[in-house]
Amino acid sequence: MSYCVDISPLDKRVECWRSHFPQLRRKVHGRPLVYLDNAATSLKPRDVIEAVQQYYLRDNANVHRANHALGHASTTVYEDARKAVAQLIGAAATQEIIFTGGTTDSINALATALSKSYLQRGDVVLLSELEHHSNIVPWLELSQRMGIQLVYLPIAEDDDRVVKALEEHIERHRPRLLAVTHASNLTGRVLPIERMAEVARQYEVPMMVDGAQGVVHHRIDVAKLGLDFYAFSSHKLYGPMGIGVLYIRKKWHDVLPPFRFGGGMIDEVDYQSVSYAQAPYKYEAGTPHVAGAAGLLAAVRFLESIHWEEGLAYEQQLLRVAVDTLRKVDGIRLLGHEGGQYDPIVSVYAPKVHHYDLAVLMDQMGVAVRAGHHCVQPYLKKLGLKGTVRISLAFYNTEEEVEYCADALKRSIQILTG
Amino acid sequence: MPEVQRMGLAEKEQQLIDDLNMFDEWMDKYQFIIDMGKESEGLPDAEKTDDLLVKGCQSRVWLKAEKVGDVLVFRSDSDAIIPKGIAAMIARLYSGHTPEEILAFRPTFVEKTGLAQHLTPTRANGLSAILKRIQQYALAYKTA
Ligand SMILES: Cc1ncc(COP(=O)(O)O)c(C=O)c1O
Repeated sequence: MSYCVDISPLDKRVECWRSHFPQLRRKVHGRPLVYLDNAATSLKPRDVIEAVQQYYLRDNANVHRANHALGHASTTVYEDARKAVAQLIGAAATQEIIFTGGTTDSINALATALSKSYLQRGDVVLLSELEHHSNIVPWLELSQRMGIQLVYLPIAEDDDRVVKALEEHIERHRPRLLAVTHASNLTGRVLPIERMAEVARQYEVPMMVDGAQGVVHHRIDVAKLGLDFYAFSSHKLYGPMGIGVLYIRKKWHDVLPPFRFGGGMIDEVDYQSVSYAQAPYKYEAGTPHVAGAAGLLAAVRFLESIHWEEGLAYEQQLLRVAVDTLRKVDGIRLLGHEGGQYDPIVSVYAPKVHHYDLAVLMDQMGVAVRAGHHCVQPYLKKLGLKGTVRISLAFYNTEEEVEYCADALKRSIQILTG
Repeated sequence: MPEVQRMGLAEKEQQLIDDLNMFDEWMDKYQFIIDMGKESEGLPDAEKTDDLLVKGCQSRVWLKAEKVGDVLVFRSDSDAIIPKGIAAMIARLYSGHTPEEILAFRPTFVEKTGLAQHLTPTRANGLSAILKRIQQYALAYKTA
């Protein structure tokens, strides 16, 4: 299956991509929607919507241990999704893919499992200063509950300095886990995770990567990188909400105990004893979100069918336009984008205007952007900011939309300061 | 503004509804609200204490009530201009009325001006949080 691949020039290609996203046709406040809140959640291609619908129209039945046709169909979809995800992120084995509720759920699950089998009082977990609350609060909970210590790695604009700081922090603090984001959902900054993984490997520090944003903008290869854990959500990757992934490298399967208990994850149960199934099942208790998996499978297939790499290259091109255009808007400043590698996310703030007011007016103009702290409060506080307006792009966005957004921003600032 | 004070709450509310509904375009309604925000004196920094913060707003909104004679006087502020305008609008509506009047009054301007439909749920929550805070003040001053 392929979509839009033979179409040129590029703007026609983008138009073709757009035609696969039904929401792009709707209006808000009487104006065409300009959706630039992709980092919060992406729009969904029709294939994904139809896959979820088809699942319920045709195949719905509970998975595993089913000895009837529908149960078999349902199980096939679910396990196909697992295979597709394994391929997408370069997992060495399909059982390394655990389905969860999303990134937050994945990190919570991992923190719980590590707290039972690996982390001990006084152990240091090294995070970056740019983390989303989802990759801070589960560890903070462990620090309160069992006395692990959190240390935060500063993230300079220059990758060499990040890597150097990582070495120094590892030398100084001897962390038992490195847990960092692939890319910041606030600034778009992409951490040099290949090089960081290399350092982590040298020092034998296990590494978890929060891929909520990164997986959307990079072809990653968890096996090659040697990552131990990788977490992401389907809904930011053009798939349905309510399902996500925790990649657990095989060597951890004997170390990490299950983190949820019940049906589906057992080998044998007696009234007084239980033995658990093998991974991935021992990590997936209860009835999973099969419709979500069907949608996620469709999302992965959709990305392959449009030759996703070309979408990713276009996003970078669009990002450069966005940064250049936004830089020209009087009265605002950009966070970062000064040399390091970035995903197509730009946070701006206007020293004289509240980000909330900007987003309200931009919404009136049909522009969906996000204003607030974006669940990155510690880093914002460090910068002395309360919040930003965040513009986040996807391959179905256009240069016109970016320019319209910059113009809406400009007009909003004029209205608010005029 | 002695005339304003003689007006009942319902009458004042009707005036507010008329003011807002004069504009067909939502951008103009917002401009009106922004102007209210800009004209509002706000509160001096020293008075912006955490106990005056209205919970449930996306930006920080402070609402202060004082009893002057029989009636309450509300003053408000926000670090964002649109909430500041909305808070000022509400403060102006309710200022100059007794706690009993305020408690007996059922505001309808949120629905009648389309604010309810037009604000996103979080913003609408912020607005109802301000209204609820007014009621709480009225109750506290009535029994006090
Ligand atoms: C970097 C990062 N981590 C974690 C999350 C949490 O994802 P979810 O809400 O899907 O669990 C997000 C989403 O905003 C994110 O951007």
